[in-house]
Amino acid sequence: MSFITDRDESDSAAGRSELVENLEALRRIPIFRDIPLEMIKLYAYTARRQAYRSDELVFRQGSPAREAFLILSGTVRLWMADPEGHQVDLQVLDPGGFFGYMALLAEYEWPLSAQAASPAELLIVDRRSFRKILVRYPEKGFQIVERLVQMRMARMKSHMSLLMRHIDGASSLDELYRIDALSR
Amino acid sequence: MVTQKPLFYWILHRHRLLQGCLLLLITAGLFFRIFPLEMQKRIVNIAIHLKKTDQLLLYCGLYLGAVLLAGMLKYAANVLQKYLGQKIVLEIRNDLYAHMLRLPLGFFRRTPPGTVITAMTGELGAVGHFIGGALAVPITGLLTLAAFAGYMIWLDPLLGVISIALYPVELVVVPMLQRRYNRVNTRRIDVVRSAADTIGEAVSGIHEIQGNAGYRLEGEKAAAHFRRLFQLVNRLSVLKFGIKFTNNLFQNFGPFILFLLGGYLAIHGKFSLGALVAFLSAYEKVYDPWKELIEYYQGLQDARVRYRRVMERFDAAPEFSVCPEGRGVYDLEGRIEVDHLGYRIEGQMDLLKEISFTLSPGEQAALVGFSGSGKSTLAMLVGQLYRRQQGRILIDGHEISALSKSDIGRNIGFVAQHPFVFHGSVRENLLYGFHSAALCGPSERAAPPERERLLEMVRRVGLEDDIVRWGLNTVISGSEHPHLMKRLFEMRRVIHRRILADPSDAVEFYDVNRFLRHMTLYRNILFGDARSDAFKLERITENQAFIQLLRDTDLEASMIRLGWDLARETVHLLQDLEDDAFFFGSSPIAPDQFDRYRDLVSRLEAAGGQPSDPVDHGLLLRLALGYIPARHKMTAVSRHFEEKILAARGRFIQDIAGLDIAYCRKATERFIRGEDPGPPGQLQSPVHVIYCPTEYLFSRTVLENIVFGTPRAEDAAETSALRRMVVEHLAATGLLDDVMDLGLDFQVGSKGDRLSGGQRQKIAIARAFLKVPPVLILDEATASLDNTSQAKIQRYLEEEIRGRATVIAVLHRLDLTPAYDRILVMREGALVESGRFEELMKKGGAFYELYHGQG
Repeated sequence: MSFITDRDESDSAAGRSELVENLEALRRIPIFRDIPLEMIKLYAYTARRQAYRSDELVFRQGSPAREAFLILSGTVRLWMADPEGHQVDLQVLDPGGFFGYMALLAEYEWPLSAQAASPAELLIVDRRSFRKILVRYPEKGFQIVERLVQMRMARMKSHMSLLMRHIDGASSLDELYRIDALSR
Repeated sequence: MVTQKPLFYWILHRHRLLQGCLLLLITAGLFFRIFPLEMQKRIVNIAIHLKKTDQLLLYCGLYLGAVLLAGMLKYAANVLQKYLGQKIVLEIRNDLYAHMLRLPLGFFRRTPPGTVITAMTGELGAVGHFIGGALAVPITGLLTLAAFAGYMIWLDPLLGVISIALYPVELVVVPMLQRRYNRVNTRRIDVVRSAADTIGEAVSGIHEIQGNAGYRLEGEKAAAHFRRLFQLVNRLSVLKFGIKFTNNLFQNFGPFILFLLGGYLAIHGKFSLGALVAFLSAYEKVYDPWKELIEYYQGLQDARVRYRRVMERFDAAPEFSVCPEGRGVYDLEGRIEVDHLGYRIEGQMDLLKEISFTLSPGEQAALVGFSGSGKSTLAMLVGQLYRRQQGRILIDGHEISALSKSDIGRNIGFVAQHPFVFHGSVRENLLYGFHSAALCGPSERAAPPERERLLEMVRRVGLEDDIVRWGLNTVISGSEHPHLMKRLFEMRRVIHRRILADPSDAVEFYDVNRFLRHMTLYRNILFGDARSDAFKLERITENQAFIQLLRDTDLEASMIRLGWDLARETVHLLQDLEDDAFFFGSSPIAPDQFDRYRDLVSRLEAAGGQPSDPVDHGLLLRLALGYIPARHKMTAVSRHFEEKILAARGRFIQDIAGLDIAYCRKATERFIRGEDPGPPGQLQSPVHVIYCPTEYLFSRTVLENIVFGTPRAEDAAETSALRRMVVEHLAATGLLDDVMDLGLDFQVGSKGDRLSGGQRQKIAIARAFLKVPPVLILDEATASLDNTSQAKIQRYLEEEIRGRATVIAVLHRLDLTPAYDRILVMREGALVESGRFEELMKKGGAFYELYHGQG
């Protein structure tokens, strides 16, 4: 029997496997640029998919951050609760949107909440698998970490300039920094 | 102390009787090795010379007997020698391990775990090979040498002396050549390495070389190495064959002298022919003891060095004794006095200076301070993990360094910032303090707490949800808990009605009419538990009835194709990761099967993918049967395939299991609608139990039995809502404790790696609390916990521990401090403030600054 060449058409009509679909989605994230496919494939293999109903919470502000999320379909809204508990909308992300990625590097508390804005499917990479794969490819792994930090710093830069525009005078900024310095 | 003992201490002091036996065995063997020589002489001189057949038979018989006996004695001596060596190594290893565990923490900071492990296993093992014969071998060697030499000299003094004198010459020449060989070989290795570097550089920099046409330059660089290599290898072969030549020469030189001299003497009647034969044999044999002695000498040097290296590595004195001397283990009250305490590390840095405070029994103190202020060091000193250097620490008036580890173990509960959890179950880890208590004298071991107490503690530290979840994920096998199984089964309908009231897709129900994505194909076809071994997954590919079923339903070929896809994809994906079981979580190939499938894939790919071997078919079929569509994402199956599986299921249940599938279909339809599926136990036969709502499913977890389906995603919100509902019901029916009891048996994995950091922390806290010690030291014990659990544990400290244990809690979060009787504030190794929260806040000093800095 030659089972590899003799493909029964009706059987192979199953379409692409989840692994291949995950791989396609992950390759497009900037952190995986120039990373060998075999390494991304491991992320595709360990990643988990999850479907969310509209308005379902992905994570809540203040809960421990352990995973990064890639939107496969649908949209996700990021919002923050101000001290009075009002929701302040920050951003709506579309398919291809990648968020929560700093959780891959260290545990912290989510500074904001994420909620499905429509029925959505997310691909989830947890920190443990992220690290386990990272250490297998030390050089490439370091490159990925660099990209993560660069992505974060780019966002921080835009936040800072936004902040500068809305704060009047250098004195209040000074105040802001002193608190930061004392907390440790 | 074990590390101070020289290697020969063990040899001279251990198992003297056995060593004596060994010596006796070898000496006896010696006699039977010389005896045949005498027989040889007599066979030639008497039996052959005098043509006496009966004498010939007698001497030959004696010869054979002696040779056999010598062989057996040698065998026994060898076995005994190895046994002795391993026995002594066993003792060294145990002593050394016990010693190592007691070494000060500083030792473990300096020494990487890998070093300790190799020292303990590999290096000591090598010493063991030597040790068994450390006495017997040289003594035997010398005795044998003396015996053979004596025999030869007895036969003929001149000839004897000459032939023995030849050996030392060889023993000098050959090692000398060997040493030169080794030196040249080392150089060869260096040259190979530099050649490899040069080649590697050329390959990586090939762009630059081709761009600059640097062929000649690069060629010359490499050529120099190649030439050098050529010369060295030539010298090596000269030396190597030189050694061989010398060996041969000497071995043949001896007989030459023997024949020359002995022949001359024999011709002149001064030496019998038989003696010459015996002499030749003896000459050959005298070589062995020489060689053994030389090897022994090399072995001795090697073992000494290894042994010394191992012992040096662990050469430190434990700081505290295990058991108290001349008294029982104390039961303390928990008064802590710290008096002018100082602690300094290498580099003359003072971590702590002049710290003094007193805590009365039951007082709870928070230890706070700026980072690096020495909080943890202080906590560890009070916990006797370090040895104090200046000042005093008294517990109930006893100087802490005078307390033994048993006193500390019984009286102090210490929870570290990153606690350790051991391989085993949650229960074993919780009871670690009870199982580990060192037995000192007649003092009794405290009885481990009851189940109620364990579960209460689990709830107190906020581990309840996890324990319940583990309990729900347990598969109860067979007859362990018949009563529990019955009651869980009864819950199924109640829960199902609740699920129907609020439909979600958290569960994939065991619906006999559907293809299930969360079950293996094997389960999809059998749709139940086989009671006979012939239908178990391990054996099913040899089951002719089952294979015929696959053929009849046109599944066999598609299954093998599926198996091939799975094997190929998985092997390519995981081939470099097989050392870590973590990556096998979503793999259809189990780690222990991986090698087989890798061989299969590489073999079939090389052969162009045309397997005709039935064994390969079996392997691929087996893989396909274990395929779970929802989990093994490396491939996907079509609708058409799913329908074929369903057809196979129908035929299996009807024809092979002999059960009424129509009945099951109806029962399932009724059940899914929320109606009564019918009386239990209807769909069982001696060979099979179907996954029907009327049955308990033996291969499924507790939760799966209750909800009659597979929860789709482990962490999904819907699943946790479902679980909450199930837990409510379990609690209402009083079954929750039983399920939690199952959860306590959850295996945490090596170093607890199946647990999260928070879970490990909670287990460590519960472990310390369960001991009910009069002193509790918590070194940021709740730092990695979520707020709810942190508050829970804080409440326990305030309500249950207050007045029963003296507490020192190193805290990072200052909002927890108001609950403490006293706050000790540290800054740069000194205690700067101490008092209640309100006092310190009013004072506006260091604590105030710290508190507001954090806001």
